[in-house]
Amino acid sequence: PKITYNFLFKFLVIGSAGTGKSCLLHQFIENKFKQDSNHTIGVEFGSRVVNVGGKTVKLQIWDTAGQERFRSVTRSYYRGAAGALLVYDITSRETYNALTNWLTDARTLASPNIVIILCGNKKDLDADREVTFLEASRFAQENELMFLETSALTGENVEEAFLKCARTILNKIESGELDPERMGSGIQYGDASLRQLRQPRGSAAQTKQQCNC
Amino acid sequence: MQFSIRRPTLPSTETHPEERLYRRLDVSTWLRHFNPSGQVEEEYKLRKAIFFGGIDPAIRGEVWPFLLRYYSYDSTSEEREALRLQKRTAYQDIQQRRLSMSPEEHSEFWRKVQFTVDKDVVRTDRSNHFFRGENNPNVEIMRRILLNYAVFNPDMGYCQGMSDLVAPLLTEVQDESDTFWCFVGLMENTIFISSPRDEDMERQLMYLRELLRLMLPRFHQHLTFLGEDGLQLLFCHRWILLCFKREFPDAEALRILCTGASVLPPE
Repeated sequence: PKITYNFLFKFLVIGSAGTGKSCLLHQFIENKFKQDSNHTIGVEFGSRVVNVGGKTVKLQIWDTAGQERFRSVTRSYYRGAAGALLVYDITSRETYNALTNWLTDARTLASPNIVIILCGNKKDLDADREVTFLEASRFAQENELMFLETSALTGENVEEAFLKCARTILNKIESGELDPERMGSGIQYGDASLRQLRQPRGSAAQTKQQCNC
Repeated sequence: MQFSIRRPTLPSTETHPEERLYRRLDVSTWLRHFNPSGQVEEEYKLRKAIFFGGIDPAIRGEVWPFLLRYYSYDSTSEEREALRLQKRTAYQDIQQRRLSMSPEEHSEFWRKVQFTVDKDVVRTDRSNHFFRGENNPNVEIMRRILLNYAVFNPDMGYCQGMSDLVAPLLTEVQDESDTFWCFVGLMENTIFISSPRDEDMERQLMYLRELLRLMLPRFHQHLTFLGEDGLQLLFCHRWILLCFKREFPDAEALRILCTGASVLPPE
């Protein structure tokens, strides 16, 4: 049966190669760690309907290759994303150093308002840690990001990361800071009735065909 | 999740008239294409046989160096042996260049290439018996080939997806230097297999969009309706980049790769 939802959010998972982006997505959707995971080529998609603050939200999550080179992919990938998980690997300083570039891309190519949560993944590999919790939290603070250390292996903080990001977006919608009606907001209403309720009277009711993906 | 072939046989009205004329190329038919000095007499005939009939898995490693234009069809057996030796030296030179980088060059190479290669080779085809298990030496060979390729062709460097293409070549061709040169051929000379250059990818996507428009007009219309992103066909990029390698089970995927390689690029 088709699950109805109040909102649909477009989410991205970004970060360097091998930081565990696909595994985070897999853990979030399947509640399992993906053994023998291949590196992502092109874009893969996942979705899950979650309950956040009394609202039903469908997260449509785009997962891309850590090393993506194609213009068409980059363009479409970032366009109209409402939220993003920015992932680095706590055991690899190189992936942490790359964060600034990823952040710039997200804010310029998606939207300056995109809600981003920084995820220090592979928390379970604490013995090999190269990036401390403290310095990453400072980075997050300076760049106005939320921050969690996650483990796609154990599942620790994985759901929290996605939900935290979704909750923040929802709050911003409710406070009026984010306008779902704006083109490229990355937010869609889940069904027509809700949409009409919120739509100011007299505005041209241009209903976009809803795709069930 | 993988694709499967829903209709392995088609009625003759839907197939190319020559399709049924060819059986899979086996050792004895393969050998009949050569003259006594080891030259392929009629290249076009051979490629057509492979295009329609496929290759017996047992001789893939023999045939691919021709399809990928490492060996030219009119070379003699002796010339090929000489070429292999010469190319082996050339390969070693490339490797030597990589190993003798200055510390600055090396750190740039590590950041741009090696960092990603190291992560990818250990997650490429590990369920294939050829690459299975901890410390499998074949994984290290695959790694060297990719690193050396990035030295050989610094403009291309390493692009994710290359390991997926090197892996089956190495499995069949086995020899490190030969595999390297076959891979060079694959990147340069094939039409169905997209090189990871932006403009090649755009061209392939344009072909696909055109095919969709002609063959599946309603679907094409739907994509158009979705706006700019629909026709970017993001869900097909991997099909094109890896020549369906991850979409089909190995046997079918290799057959597709082979068919693609049997078609020459336009001059």
